[in-house]
Amino acid sequence: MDKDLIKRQSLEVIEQIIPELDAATVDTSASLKDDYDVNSVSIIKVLVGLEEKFHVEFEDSELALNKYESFDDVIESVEKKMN
Amino acid sequence: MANEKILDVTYPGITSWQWHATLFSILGNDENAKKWIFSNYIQLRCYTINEIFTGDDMLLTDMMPGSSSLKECPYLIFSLLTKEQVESYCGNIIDFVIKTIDLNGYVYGVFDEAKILCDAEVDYKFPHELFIYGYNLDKEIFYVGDFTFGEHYTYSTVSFSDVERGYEVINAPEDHMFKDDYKGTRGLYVILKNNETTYYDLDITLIKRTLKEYLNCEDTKDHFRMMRNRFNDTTFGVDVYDKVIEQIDKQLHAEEPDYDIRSLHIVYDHKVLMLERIKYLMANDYLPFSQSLVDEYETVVENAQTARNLLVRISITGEIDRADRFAKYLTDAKNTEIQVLSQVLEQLEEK
Repeated sequence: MDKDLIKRQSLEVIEQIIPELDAATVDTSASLKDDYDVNSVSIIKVLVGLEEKFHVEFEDSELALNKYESFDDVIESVEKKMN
Repeated sequence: MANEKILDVTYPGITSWQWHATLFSILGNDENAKKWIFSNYIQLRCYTINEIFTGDDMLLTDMMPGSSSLKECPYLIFSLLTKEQVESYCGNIIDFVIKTIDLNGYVYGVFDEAKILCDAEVDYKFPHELFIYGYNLDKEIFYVGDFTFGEHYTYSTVSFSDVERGYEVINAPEDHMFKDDYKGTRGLYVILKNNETTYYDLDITLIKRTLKEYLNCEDTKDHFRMMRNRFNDTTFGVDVYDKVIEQIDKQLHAEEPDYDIRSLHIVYDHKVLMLERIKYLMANDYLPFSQSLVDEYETVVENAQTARNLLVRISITGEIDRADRFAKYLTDAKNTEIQVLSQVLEQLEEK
């Protein structure tokens, strides 16, 4: 699957889980914590949602907010798992 | 009187219980208070109580000092006001809170947060501690800190009328802050900062003694028998890991699985604070700097975090079959922590 499609579909999942976010306007390089108020629970919901969407699996140790600075980091980790 | 006043707060590094989040909100950034904080919060303890909302057994895990920290911290001035005093002095809770904030006092007390959260009248109560640190008269709101308004500890606002409703409906037996020690009383804490003078130096003697008690699972409460001596069912120190593993196994394999995360959250916060303490001791020459010691303890923090986040995951997905991994993460954390803290203790003894 190409990177653009992974990014677009990831953002759709993220928008479903965090409805305050607009997939069309979200700044994927901005800080998850400071700019989007993502917390230790909502990041796990996002990662579990991405697992279901892309049929990948995150290690238990990867289910942590401090592993990701931005949505770009989250999407990149999905890309790595898919490839 | 200004239309708005907001007292200083800093988002707390330690949030696992409301009393810790409150103390660290007020003092977390204060250099003097760090000396008291790092001298304490070393011992972990747990015991079983009846959960206040459901009546079910609950493993209450906490660092020492626990909720009494707000009374005992030398960098806070604590006052206990009964409901009768509040009404006699100010007539109502709203005026009392505003006047207290005008005098730089934070307010902390039990409110029915079901009334605060729900627009409609509900037939149940959710008594919980609310931390109030500011007001705005134009908007008729208080600035508050709590876990109830988000998935984690959050600073938020609550209307004057909701705070009044939430306060009025709680009676004395439902005020869990007061009922254990002051049965039949209902009231509030008023908390002032007391941090302009150094009242407490870093206490290496206390740190060494409590580290020993933590590693040897000894009863730290024995030192405080002049104040309280009611409980004899408490587990201390690194044995808490085993109790938490046992409790999680029990709650996840119950007929209706329970995803209570609180014990894992306090265990994680304990590790975060211990790592900060180790770095502080190194930075201030109480311990020789050792990157490998820091790196090893970081794996303890990571294992505690992974165990906590795994339970969050299971609570979302219901994948109970993943539960067997908890024991490994927590046992690894326990073994490495014993090894690192034994070295820390040895180095402190040599100084």
